[in-house]
Amino acid sequence: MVALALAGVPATAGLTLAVALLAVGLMLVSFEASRPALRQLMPTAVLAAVAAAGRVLFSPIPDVKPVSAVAIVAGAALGRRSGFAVGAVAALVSNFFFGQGPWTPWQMYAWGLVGYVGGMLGEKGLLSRGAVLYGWGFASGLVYGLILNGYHVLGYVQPLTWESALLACAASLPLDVTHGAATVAFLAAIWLPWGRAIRRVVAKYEL
Amino acid sequence: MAAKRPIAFDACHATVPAALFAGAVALSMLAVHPVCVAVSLVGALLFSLLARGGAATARGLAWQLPLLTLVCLLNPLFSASGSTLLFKLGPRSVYLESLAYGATMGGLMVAVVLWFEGAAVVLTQDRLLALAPRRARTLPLLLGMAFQLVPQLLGRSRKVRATLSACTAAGARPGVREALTRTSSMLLTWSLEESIERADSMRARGWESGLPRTSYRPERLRPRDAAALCGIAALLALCSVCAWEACSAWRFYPTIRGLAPWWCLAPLAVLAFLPSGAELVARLRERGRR
Repeated sequence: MVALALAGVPATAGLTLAVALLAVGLMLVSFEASRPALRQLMPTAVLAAVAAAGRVLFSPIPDVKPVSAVAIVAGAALGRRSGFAVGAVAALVSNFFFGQGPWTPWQMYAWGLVGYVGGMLGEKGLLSRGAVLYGWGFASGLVYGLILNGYHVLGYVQPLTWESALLACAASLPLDVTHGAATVAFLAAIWLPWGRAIRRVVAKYEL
Repeated sequence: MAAKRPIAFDACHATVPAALFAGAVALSMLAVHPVCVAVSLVGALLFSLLARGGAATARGLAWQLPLLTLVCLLNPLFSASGSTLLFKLGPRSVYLESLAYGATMGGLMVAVVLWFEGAAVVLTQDRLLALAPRRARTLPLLLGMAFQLVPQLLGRSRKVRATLSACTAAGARPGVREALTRTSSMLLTWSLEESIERADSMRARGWESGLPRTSYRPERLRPRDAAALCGIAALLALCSVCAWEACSAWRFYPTIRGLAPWWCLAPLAVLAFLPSGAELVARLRERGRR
């Protein structure tokens, strides 16, 4: 992709879209192939809907989005594949309120990745340490920003130079830092009460 | 004028409009050529006016036009290249070629958004589900549930907040952060418990019994759908060849040059105006029947 953009192929926007679609599709097909039980699938749908609704509710404040935080919680509680599915579905569903476009697969991929890594850290038991939890929460804002900058710079800026790429990243850095800080704030607010709520449901229904 | 629901693609299998719109989106994204982008943009705008009506299209354009301007202006700021210097903005030089590339990309983005919106009107959720393979059950269920849950959750969050503020026994009114955390955890518990109960009830009604998924609206691939699909595939193949010809001759940098002959762009125009043309023909035919 980077080579294509540097070589100045004008159709890079379309090709990067195809790559993002393929990546999201492969991850979702692996989720489908893992045949999750219905009792695991339903909480995934609920958490994705909660993330999407949260994004809609917080839409008046720019770059304050609870999607990353919910995806990390989902990854920790339900596993890495479910974390990816929550992030990706939340991006897709909430974009029906904000407008679909060529950025949708990239957002799906970026938030899915945030949930997937959250799930991986959760499976290793690292998320019980505050530093790792909030560290990944903050880094997720930067990772998300980097992926979405990459989509814009690779596809829509020509000719591509290191200077222009750095300029684009520098321009979006304040927004990404806001996103990361907001994710940390959301995680601090919901980690304990939501963990309690999920454990309560797990105990009540013997999951 | 309130828009009438589009009717042109009601009678055919969902794959026909899906192939048409997917082809239109793919070609608009891959053919980075000002004329191709302009043709696609006009076609998408026309279909949006027909299928969604003037008011909805204008509401969409209210944020899409600023987006176009933003993408157009970002390119010369991020990458200064070209030969026709327009003006200098601080340390950056703004060239005509760079601005033209930005405008093309902005138009491309808006055209793709308009195609997506048009496709969303034609391919409603139940028709999209019919496109998914019959054996796939997890993803269609996940998407369908999430889509229905979002409006429900938004309504329930209002209900929870109203109940809490009406309940005088709940103590002093908490701060904003406390209230948000409380509302969101209540909403989560409520929805999670309900979702587990729904899962059990779906299981009791035969889910996971190994049979393929049934569908609410049967979609059957008839011979004329197959013919339409073949026609669309042929048109798309022709368009790709023409777009390849047009784009390989075209250069933005260092100077804009290499306009392709008009016949190279004709198939792209046919593709861009096919959805709105089909819709117009269907509406005229329906009016003739009355």
